[in-house]
Amino acid sequence: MARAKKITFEESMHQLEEIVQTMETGDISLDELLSQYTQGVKLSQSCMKALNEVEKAMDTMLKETDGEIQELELKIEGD
Amino acid sequence: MPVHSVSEITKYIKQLINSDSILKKVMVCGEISNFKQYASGHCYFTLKDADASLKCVMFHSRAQRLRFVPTNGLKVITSGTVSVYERDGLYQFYVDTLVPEGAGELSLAFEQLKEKLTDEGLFLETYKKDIPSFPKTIGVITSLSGAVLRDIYHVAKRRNPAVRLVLYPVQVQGAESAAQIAKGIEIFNKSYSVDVLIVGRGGGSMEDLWSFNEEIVVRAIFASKIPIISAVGHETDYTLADFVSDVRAATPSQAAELAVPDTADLSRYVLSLKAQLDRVMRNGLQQRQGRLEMYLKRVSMCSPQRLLSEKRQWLDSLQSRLVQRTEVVLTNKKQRMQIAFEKLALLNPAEVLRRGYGIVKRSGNTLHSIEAVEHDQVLEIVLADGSFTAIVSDVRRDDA
Repeated sequence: MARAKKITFEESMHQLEEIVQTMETGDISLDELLSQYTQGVKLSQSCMKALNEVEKAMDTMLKETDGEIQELELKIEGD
Repeated sequence: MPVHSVSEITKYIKQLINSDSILKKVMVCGEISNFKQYASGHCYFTLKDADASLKCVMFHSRAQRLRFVPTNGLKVITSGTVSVYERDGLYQFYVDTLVPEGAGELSLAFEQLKEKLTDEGLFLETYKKDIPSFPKTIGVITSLSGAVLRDIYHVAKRRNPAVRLVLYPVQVQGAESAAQIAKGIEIFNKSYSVDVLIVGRGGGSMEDLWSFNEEIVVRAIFASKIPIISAVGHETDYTLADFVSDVRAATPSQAAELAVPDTADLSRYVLSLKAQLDRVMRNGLQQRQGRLEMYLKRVSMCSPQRLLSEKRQWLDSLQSRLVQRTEVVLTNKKQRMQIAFEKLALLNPAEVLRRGYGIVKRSGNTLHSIEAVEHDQVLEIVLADGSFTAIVSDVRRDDA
């Protein structure tokens, strides 16, 4: 089964902006208004979730030798 | 006097010239003309001033070190050796170095490359890519040591602790630098994708920053599919990398600010969008409710019940008008009848007789005039309560 493509933060935010805009024109059916609202709430939640992510990512240093790329941990001097 | 071959005499002249200490290493200034560069990479041109000219050749090995392209009319200072090209019997200047007079070599190279790449359209706004609004992984191409990486690291982590940095360490100056920077951009594009790239170094002289003016770097930035923020030198330094990059940052810290949005700012923005969403929803519902109420009102105005009661009212008024009108007509008739009755009563002969009048009849016919009355005629006189017979004894006619 094809997994739904996870949309990026930008896309979520963009969609949210568009939904607000569409709803503001006021020229949509009630059903649509409700479904857009539901979708908008979902998007805003996923955006907030992405923003509040505090999982610390490991920083990387790339080293290339003969076309092979090696990932090393990046240590910042003085830290 | 001995006779010499052309080769012998030419060789002699060459030896003579080559043995001269001044001609062996000499600097010459002049204006370039007839400049030609062949596929071999060798350059041929003439240096001249108002009164003389000097044939020059610059071999590929020397010419490839030139950072700018010599052009006709350019005033240059050259250094090299004067020698003889035996086959053509030509003395010429073998140029080792060539720098523009006045403006520095680097400035000239900068202007020339800038013009060339501008003509190619590399700096056009239309090619600029947007920086993603919420990148998770930032590629950094700079030196491992030095303040640049540290500045980028601290600013980025402060704005979003979850952001991940990937460094491709390079030399940011020197002979290898440009190729390394270009390679780094290529690696990120081909093998190690990131959301946005920062390419840069700290401040320095124009010579120090030169790698960021090299064509190979400029073209690599242009070719990059990943958006690139350049941060080269200080606020006042502009390199061609800055022109071609999608966004130019004045400093490495600013590059990090441009690359990494403040999560607090973004949170506020998302919350404001959510609030807007709620408000729009509420408005949408209220608007519909209002419309619905208005329609209901309009519908009730047209309901059959309402229409029926209106008709009934109309009918009622018609009925009452009918009754009223009939009464008026009846009353009228009654009055007229009364009057008629009264008139009739007045005309009743019995009534007249009761008031003392009598009817004179002859042979049953009522007499209306004296004309028909004659002497001795028998007449019947009718009174109110009886009648009697009389004989006419005298006839008196009233004179008309």
